[in-house]
Amino acid sequence: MRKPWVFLTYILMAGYLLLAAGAFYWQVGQREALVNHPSNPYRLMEHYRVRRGGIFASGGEVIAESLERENSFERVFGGTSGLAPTIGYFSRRYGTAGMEKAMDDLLMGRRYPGTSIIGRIRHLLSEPASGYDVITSIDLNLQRTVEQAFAGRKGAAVVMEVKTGRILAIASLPGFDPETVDSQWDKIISDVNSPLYNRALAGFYPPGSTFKIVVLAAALADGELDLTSTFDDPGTVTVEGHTIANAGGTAWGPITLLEALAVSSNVVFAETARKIGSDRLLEMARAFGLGRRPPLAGDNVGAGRLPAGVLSQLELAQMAIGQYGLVTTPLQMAMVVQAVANDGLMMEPMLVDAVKGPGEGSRWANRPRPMGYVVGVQTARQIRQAMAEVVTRGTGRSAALRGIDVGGKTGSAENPQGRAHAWFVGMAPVDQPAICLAVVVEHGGSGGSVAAPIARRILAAYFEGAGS
Amino acid sequence: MQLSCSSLGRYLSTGYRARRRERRLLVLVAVIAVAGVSLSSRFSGGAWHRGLQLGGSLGIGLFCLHFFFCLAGFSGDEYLLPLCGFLCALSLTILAGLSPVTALRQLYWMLLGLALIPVAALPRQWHSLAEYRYLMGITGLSLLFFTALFGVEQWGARLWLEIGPVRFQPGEVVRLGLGVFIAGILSENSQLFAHPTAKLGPFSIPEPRHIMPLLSMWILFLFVLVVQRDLGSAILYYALFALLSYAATGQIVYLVLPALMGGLGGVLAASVFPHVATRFEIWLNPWASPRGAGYQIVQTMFALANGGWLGRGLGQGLARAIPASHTDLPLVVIGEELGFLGLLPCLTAQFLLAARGLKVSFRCGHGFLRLLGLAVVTGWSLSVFLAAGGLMRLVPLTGLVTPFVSYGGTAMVTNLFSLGLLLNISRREIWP
Repeated sequence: MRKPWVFLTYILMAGYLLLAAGAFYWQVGQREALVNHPSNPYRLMEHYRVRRGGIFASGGEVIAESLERENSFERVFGGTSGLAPTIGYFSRRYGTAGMEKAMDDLLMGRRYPGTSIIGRIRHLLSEPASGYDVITSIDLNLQRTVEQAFAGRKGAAVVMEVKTGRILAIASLPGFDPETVDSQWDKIISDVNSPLYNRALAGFYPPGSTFKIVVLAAALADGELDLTSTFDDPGTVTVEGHTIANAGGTAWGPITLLEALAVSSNVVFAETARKIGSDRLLEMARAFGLGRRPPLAGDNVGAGRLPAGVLSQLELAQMAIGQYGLVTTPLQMAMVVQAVANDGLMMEPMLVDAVKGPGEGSRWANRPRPMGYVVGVQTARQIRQAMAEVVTRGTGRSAALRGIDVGGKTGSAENPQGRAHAWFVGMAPVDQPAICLAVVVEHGGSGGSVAAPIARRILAAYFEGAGS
Repeated sequence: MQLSCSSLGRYLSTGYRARRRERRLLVLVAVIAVAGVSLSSRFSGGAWHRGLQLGGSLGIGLFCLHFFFCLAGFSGDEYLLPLCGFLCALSLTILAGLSPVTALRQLYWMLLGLALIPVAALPRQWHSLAEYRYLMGITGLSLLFFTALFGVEQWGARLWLEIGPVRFQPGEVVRLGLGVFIAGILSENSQLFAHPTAKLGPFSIPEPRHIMPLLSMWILFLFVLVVQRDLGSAILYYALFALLSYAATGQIVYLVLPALMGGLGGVLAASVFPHVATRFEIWLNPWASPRGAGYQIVQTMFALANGGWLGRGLGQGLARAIPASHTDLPLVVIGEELGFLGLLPCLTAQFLLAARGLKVSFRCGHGFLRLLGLAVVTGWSLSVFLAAGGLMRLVPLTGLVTPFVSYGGTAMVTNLFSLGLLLNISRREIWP
């Protein structure tokens, strides 16, 4: 009578395997979906147990932190409203956004920030009463200046440290007050100015003439042209039946490439782009990170749009002046000038300086990470020389500072929604740049007269602060 | 059983080699018990104290039993006790995280059960239990009816009997009694069952008079299901009978026919009685009422998912907040706090215990004891499968408890007593 017993053993084994497979299905297979399920009460309960870590400015000022209330925590915001779209909000009712979302695991103390194995084991074995603090690279004073400089206008600005890629200020205006998310949600989401939308990281603007920096880089990197190459500029050029004109139709006559950038000659750059050709221009744009998502944590970072394939002569000419389906974010343009300012070496944008543990002495610093050379050192210096010319003699004169050489490029990006977006991207000091920035004023009009003065105020504040 | 000075002398001279594997495994179990309880109670203060108090007591209890076996020259299986000890250690670990008072009470029951093991494991007369099969069967059934009629209702099922201050769950005792009854009649009549003479179409079926037990079991199944509203026990008793008849006779018809009848009965009951149907609806779609009837299963799914590979750490789970987590969901607590990699060893230990039990039962030379052993093993395995499978939505949620792991005095004592019976059966012995 052996047979039935053998069969029973098989049944037992099958049952065991079924249970093991069931456990695997729920614990591993379905994990993601169930953990993030809206009615999973575990995350919510965790928020009553764990004091969420704070977000701080680089100077130690509080941007967001959790204060203990009767058996719960209240999230208070100490940053500026223009910073709010980047920092995001933390609401039990409406979830999280921005950095609050991207850094959620660290802020709640779920993930160990370091690499040490002993630390990880300790982290596994302890029940954290509070999460990790995040120290950002934001300079809160500079941030305030940036927002004041906008004087109520819509737009965005990104200010970066050249050598490291640290973001010193990032404004998306109009912003909001994260503390009011719970009470005024409906008002915030129905606001026509969409304050929740992060214009600095995901605002899609045609770059306009600021894209001429990329065209210039492609022209110089190629070696065929240099800053002294001379063009004849009759004020307009007709490509495939379409006329491309300079701003105001000005005919500059014989003009060098250097001067052409300074006065932002559309004709010269359309010609230059046609000379460079579709492949090399798109390649250079890709090298500068256009059309690609910048490597910054968070789901609110946009990739912009870069046309692909072979461009026709007209498309090339239009793209040279930052039109034709080309779309960039302020962060991307800040990164373009950062690479130029840093002798061609592009750095990953950095918003987090360090993560700090609840206890003393536990601090994990974030290191600057180079992304690689976009252009050579010589090319970068030549571009900077031309950008200095823009501010000293060209369209960006309102960005000039006394005692410090500023380099930059203006842009007035035409768009189907209304007035042109006013751009200014730049860096200072031009010889050895310390900071760079990108400013865009939504439907502001002329970059030279609207965006450049804002950039000037930001730069002035930075060097005042650095001087004192 | 004579424990004399000579047996002690014998043990001290050569006997230390006896049951060496059991001893080594028990050391491991004791370490797991102390460490587990300490870790899971470390947030409530006095972790090591509690670890030594609860885990240490379990370890000492197991070792006392082990040395008693050595002194008595007991020749039973050496793996059963450590495996069961491991599950008990897990039980204390979980309960210590839920509530220290509950854990302590569970420990008392464990120690009582361990003290009863020699009573079950050492006597050589258990085979004559077969003589009392009808008495056991009738006692079991009357307990069942008694509970169904006068029991205390809790969470929609009438499973508890209250006699003065004592409150216990007869279901566990009934299961053992029913096991004795079924094993008794099957071992007596196995020849009759094994040679079916009647024909039904292409199938050979036993003669009608031999189907009577099957029919009565089927009626019992429906009674428990409908009157007592206890789907788990109903399936358990019924499957116990089917599997035992199959093992006793080797006729596949004893597996197929009950399965068909059981399925039919289930469908009938579900279509007539709404509370049975509700069980099935919750199983198929718990999201229909995640805060009502489906609450437990939905929370279970969340808890398992939140555990992931490695779990949230002992004592850091939130599954304990689900009602009845200490009786119904200990495996979920393990899954949440120790993750998949912690739940797997627990399931494996249950599997190994059952596999080992199956093996020792099969080896046993006595027809009745062999089936009794199988009844014990089948009871455990079915409970584990229905309890854990219910949590993982392989089968409807039944409210059955996990042997040795769930909180429950009656179950703990009965299961440890059953373990003693298995140990008894596992002895190398010439049975009459």
